[in-house]
Amino acid sequence: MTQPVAATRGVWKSFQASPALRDVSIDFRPGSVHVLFGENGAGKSTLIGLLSGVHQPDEGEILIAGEAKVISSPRTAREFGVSTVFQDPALIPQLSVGENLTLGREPLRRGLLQRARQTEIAVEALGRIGSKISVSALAGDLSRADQQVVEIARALQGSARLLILDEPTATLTEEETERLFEILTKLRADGIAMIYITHRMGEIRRIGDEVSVLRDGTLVRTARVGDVTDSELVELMTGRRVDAIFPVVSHRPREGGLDFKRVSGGSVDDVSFHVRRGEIVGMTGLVGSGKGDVGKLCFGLARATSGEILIDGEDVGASSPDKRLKRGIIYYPGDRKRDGLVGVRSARENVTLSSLDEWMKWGFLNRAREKAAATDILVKLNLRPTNPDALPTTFSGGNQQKIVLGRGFTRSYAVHVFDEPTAGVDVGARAEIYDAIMKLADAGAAVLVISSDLPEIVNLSHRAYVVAHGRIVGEFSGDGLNEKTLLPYFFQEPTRAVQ
Amino acid sequence: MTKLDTKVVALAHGQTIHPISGPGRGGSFDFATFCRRQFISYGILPLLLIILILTFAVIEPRFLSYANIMNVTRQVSYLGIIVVGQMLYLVTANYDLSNGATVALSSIGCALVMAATAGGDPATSIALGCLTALGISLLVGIVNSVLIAVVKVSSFMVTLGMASAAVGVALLITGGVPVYGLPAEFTRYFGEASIMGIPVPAIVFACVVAAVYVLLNWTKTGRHAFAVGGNERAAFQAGVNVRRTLLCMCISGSVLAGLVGLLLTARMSTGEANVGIEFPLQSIIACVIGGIALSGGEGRVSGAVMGALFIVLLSNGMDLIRVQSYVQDVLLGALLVLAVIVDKLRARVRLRQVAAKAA
Repeated sequence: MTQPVAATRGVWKSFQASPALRDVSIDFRPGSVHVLFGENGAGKSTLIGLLSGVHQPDEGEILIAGEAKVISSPRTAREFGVSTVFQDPALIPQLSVGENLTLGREPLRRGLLQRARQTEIAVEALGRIGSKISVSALAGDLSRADQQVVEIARALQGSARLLILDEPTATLTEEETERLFEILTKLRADGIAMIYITHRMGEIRRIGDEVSVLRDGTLVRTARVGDVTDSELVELMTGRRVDAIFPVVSHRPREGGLDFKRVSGGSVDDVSFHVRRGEIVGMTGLVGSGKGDVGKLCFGLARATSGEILIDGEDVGASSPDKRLKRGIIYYPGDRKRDGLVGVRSARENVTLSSLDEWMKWGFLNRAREKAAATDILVKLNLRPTNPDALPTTFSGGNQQKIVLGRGFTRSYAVHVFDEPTAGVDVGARAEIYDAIMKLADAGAAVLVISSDLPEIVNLSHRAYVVAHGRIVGEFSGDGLNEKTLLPYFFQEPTRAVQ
Repeated sequence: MTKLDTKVVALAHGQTIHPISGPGRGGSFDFATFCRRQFISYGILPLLLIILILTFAVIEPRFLSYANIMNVTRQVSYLGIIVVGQMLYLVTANYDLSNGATVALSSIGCALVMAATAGGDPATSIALGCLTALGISLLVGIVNSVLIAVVKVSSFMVTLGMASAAVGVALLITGGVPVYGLPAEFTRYFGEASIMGIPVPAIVFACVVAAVYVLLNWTKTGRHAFAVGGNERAAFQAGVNVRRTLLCMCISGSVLAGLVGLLLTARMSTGEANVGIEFPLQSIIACVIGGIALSGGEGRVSGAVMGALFIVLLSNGMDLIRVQSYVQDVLLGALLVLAVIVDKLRARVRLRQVAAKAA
């Protein structure tokens, strides 16, 4: 067998005493697409962090072309031929494609930029992967898919031998995904080794040669894609105590809750669904399917152009978020750092922000009672470290989510809308968050969980909807609510006029 | 002393000095921790104030004379109210570069109205003048805040434009000539009078400080203001009425500038269009050295008061020892830059502190 371009040998890595990777050894071979598969927090990101020089292993070593190397920085990684295309866009939007492609390596002569040479280099880089994107276009004007192509072209400059792609298709349409796969196929023929991270079963078969399944930081199995079945993969990925992570909530739907009646707005097109009180309802679909906009519509962050949104049977109209909050609906944003938390105020103040009225007397805040209530909530949610006065930015992802979640416990809300409640949350904290969500439903609230995490949708919710192209394409409950049944609906083309 | 040393060493190893949760904290006073806390809350301001007072007191005995203390008290009252007003803008992550112009326009407005009605009952005349000053600043505040909160223009541009426009209007109305002929009672009661030995402006200042302290710390609007300043998106998505919060804070901030316009007019017994030119710069410097973050969401009223006190003491002391006013300008500019550097340093120390706690 050919020598691996890169390999890990028994690597361990811990963050704040909680292990993210345990004794992982994987080979990455030239001309092979190696899929890393696993749930959020399974260790995929940590593993590519080690290879791309973002993190250093606590134990074990990384081999580059058979030799143990220390990859001390992303720059060193590039020197060893390891390039990474991260999930977040990394181009400078105000610069042209050509300028982005030569950034930091501008062709100079006597200190002056050689523009013609710059264009030449850029055209060459794009030509290598068969792209015809204009080098003079501004990066910011490109679609996300084209930006990604440019990023791949940039990553392959120089002597790249291992290309790491972190969920490249997360924001791409089906057509764009197909184009990306064509490029990857070409690179495979050129003998480039690739690491491909995805959450999508379908892509493993379409593009993968080998697959490694990670679970809780441990390598469960590495296999040739042809040697494992889909159900084996799901079992390997979720094989852990699923029932221990997901609480069992008895399904006792009651009157009231949330109703969408033929609502359109944002990327959402004529959507109707309901979440009864006492129910946990999941909503899933691809990124860009419009599921996130459903959450925004619930809370008035996006405007409904038609249709009705009802809370406990009453139409909320076009009211603003603060009015909807008073009506008894609360929204937990997906991007905690950007949309959820006020970084410069304490965890405690973040918890009580939505419901200060609870502690007002004659127009003044009863700070002692407010403090006691917030501390009590954070202790019950098991915030670690238990320091309600600390700034939210100092906590781990899971604990930050607990702070946002704490808002829902300050008073009784009729409807709770969660957008990606466990994105970037480790397994331990996840179980606690699920437990809290369960308690909300058990207390008689209607809970809508919008998530890309399929196991979460399948195991946490009583019922689930799949959204594709801004429409609801399927409703599932009981035995029909499983990953295999749901997944095909993700890729469903829009069927017009389902009356 | 040995005890102190061991604790410092303990911190260096990333251990916590105090238990993480509140109760059960050791009663012993730890000077190092106390200093760090003070630094995080107020920056180097308390230290600078002490150094300043000691230095001037040694060089120039008149610095601590009764007359000078009264003088400083008056001056700090005017600047202090301006600084507290600026703070209301800064807390929501906005600037007010128009506070000086608001002072000028209010001054002209109230002087003109009082001069026009001076023949009649002085009480009526004064009341009308006061209402005019506050009305003008209210209007300025409304225009500023609507442009900031509703039209979403950067406060920097809005208030810079407002500063130019308001001073322009003031000069246009008066032709650049001070407005005379105000009722003598106005200056007597609002400018020169003292109640139980305390100058009236100082009493007004104390009331303003108390009111803003309550507003920021004990009301919903105050909490919302900190949240909006800290992260507007997050505040909005947590159901905070961002627009109303911004309107409330910016209008209050501008009305405080109008109040200063009123008090300064009483002090000078004339309405002047060029009063308060130095206020935008001075108030921002005072806020920053008082620990109010330019990026919003943080700050204490006590910091604003100390910041104002510092600037007044510095210029008063330098006046006493006859430092040229141009030199003072240079020093003030340098001070602003120093204040911003300290602001950055403070944020870093705080982060390290938190990291040490979490470990």
